[in-house]
Amino acid sequence: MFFIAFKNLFQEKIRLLISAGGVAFAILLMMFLIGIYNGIIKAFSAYPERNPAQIIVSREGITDMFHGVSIVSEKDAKAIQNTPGIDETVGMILMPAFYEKDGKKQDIFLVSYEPPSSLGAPWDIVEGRGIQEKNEIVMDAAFAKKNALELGDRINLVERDFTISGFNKGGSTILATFAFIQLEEAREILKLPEATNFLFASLKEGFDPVEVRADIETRTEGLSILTKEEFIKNNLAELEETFLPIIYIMVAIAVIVGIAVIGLTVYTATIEKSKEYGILKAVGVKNLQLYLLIFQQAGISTMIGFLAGIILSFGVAYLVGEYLRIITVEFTAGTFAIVFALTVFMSFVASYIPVRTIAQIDPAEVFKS
Amino acid sequence: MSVLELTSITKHYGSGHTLVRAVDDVSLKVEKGEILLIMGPSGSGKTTLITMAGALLKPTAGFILIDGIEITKLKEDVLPDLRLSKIGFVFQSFNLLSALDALDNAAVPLIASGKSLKKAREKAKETLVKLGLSARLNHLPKDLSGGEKQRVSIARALITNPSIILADEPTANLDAQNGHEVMELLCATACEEGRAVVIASHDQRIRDVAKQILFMEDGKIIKEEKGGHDSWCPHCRSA
Repeated sequence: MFFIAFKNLFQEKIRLLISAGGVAFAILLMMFLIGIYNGIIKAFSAYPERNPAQIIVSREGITDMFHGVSIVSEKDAKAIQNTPGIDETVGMILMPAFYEKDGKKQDIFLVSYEPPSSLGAPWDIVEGRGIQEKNEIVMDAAFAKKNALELGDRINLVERDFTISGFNKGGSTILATFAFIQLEEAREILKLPEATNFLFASLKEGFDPVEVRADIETRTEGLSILTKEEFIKNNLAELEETFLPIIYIMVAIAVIVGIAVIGLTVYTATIEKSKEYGILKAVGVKNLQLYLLIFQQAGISTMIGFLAGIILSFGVAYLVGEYLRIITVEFTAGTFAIVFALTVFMSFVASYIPVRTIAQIDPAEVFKS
Repeated sequence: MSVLELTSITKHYGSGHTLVRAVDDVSLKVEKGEILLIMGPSGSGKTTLITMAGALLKPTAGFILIDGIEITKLKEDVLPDLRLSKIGFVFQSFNLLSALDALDNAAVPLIASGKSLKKAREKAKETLVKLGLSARLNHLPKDLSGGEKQRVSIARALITNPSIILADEPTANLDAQNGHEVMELLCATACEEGRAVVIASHDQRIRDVAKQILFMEDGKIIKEEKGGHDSWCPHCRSA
C-alpha cells in the first residue's frame, strides 16, 4: 500500500510542503538546541578534557574551576610530586578578566601554564606559537577573529599589557573565553609566589589514577584530589542542571509543534479522503492495511521534514559559527539518533487520531452517492 | 449450488415506534452466469439488500451464502478477505481513488490481497485493455469520462476474478451510449466468464440485460419477472 500513501501525499503538494515544512522547523529547533547544548558542553569540557593531567588537586571543598577560591601550597605540591606514580606536576592560576572593545566588556578566563609542560597548556594552537617570554598571551582563535585581533597585537588585561603570541582553537564558551599566560606572570599579578589555585598531575605509565589519588590523600590534608573524569563532570554539573531542563522543555515544545503540524495535516487529509478509505474497505482492504497507509503517509511527511530539517540545521549551524563565532553548534551521532527517534515518535503520535477516524469509517457508506 | 443465496433476510433499524424495516424477509438465489436485476423506487431497500449481499452490512435476521459459505456467521475480520476473493463492486458514482491513475485504481484489490505492485499492474493493464481503455491507462479519474471511469470501476471489480459482481445503479451517471456499453460489459462478465451479476437500479434500460427481475417496495419483493436478456444479449445470441 506504500504507493497509495505516496500518491495520496504527492497529490496535495502544498499540504505536503506545509506538513514537511512544519516538521523541518521542529527538527531544526531540536537539532539546534541539542547542538548548542553539545557545543556548550564541548567548549566547557575542552580545557580539562584536552589537558593531559590525570589528577587535579584543589583546596578541600573546591571541586570545579568556577566556584570558590582554591589555594594549593608549594608544600602540598611537593608532597604530591613525591608520591609514587606521579610523573609531573604543574600549578595553575585562574583569574577572571575582561577585554573591553567599543565599550563592551567580554569575559575571559585567564589561565596559567608552565611551558614547555603540556599540563594545562593551550591544546590546539592554530596560528603563532605558545608562550616563550613574559607578557605573552595565547588567545582563543574564535575570540580573536570576532575582535579582529592579530598575532603581535597588544591587549590590556588585568591592568597589564600582553602581546599575542598564538591562537588556540576551541576555548570559547558562552560564559567566557580561555586565554593562556605564564604561571610566573600570573603569580606576580595575584601576588601568590608560593601557591597556585590548582595543581595538575600526570602519572607514570601503568599507574591507576584512583590508587594514586588514595596515596596522595594519605600524604596531604585539606585538599580535594580528583581524577580527570571527576573534574570534568564537576565542571559540567552546574551547566547540566541549568541548561538541560530548558533544553528538555524546548525540545518537548518542538516535538509538540511537530506532532500538531503533522497530525493536523494527516488528519485533514484523512477526513477529506474518508470516502476513499471507505471504498478501500469495501473492496476488501483490511483495517490494518489502512492504518499502515496512514502511518506511511505520516512517516513519509516526517521523513521529508526530517531530511529538510537536518539540511537546514547544518546551514544554520554554519551561519552561527561564521557570524556569532563564540557559540558553536555541535552535532554528534547521538544528536541525530535522538532527533530521528523523536521524529519517528512524532509520526506515530500524529497518526493516532487519523487511525481512529479510519477505524470508524463504515464501508457500507460507499453505496450512498 | 447457487453462487449467492439469501434466505429470509431482514434488516431493521431503530425499534418500537421508530422501527424501519429496510429489508423484510427477502429470499433469492443467483446462479453462475445469471444476471439479476433488482428494481424499485428510492427507499425500497434494494441498496440495503445489495450491501448485505456484499458482506458490508449484517442482516438483523436470515442468512446469506456466497459460494456455499455462510457469511452472516463469519467474524468481521475475515470479511475483507471474502470481499476481495468473492465479490466485485460497481458503484453509481464510480468511487475511484482520485490520486491513482486508471491502472493503479484497477490494481488496488490485487495489491490489497498481497500481490506485488508489478504483477498487480500487469493484470490491471490486461483487464483495462480488454475493456477498451488501453489509451487511458495512466490517466487520473479527473481526466476520464463517466463511461471510462465506470469501465475502470468494472476492471477493479473483475481483477480478483470474483464469483459475484454487485452493481449499484451502474448506469445512473452515464449517457445512453456509455450506459449501453457498461451493460454489455456486465453482460459479458456473466455470459462469457460465468459470474453471477446482481444489479440494483431503477434504470429501465437495464431490464433488457437482466435474465431475472425482482421488484422491491418497502423492503419486500413484490413481483418477479423474466428480463429481456435472451433476445438482447449478443453473447447468448451468437452462441
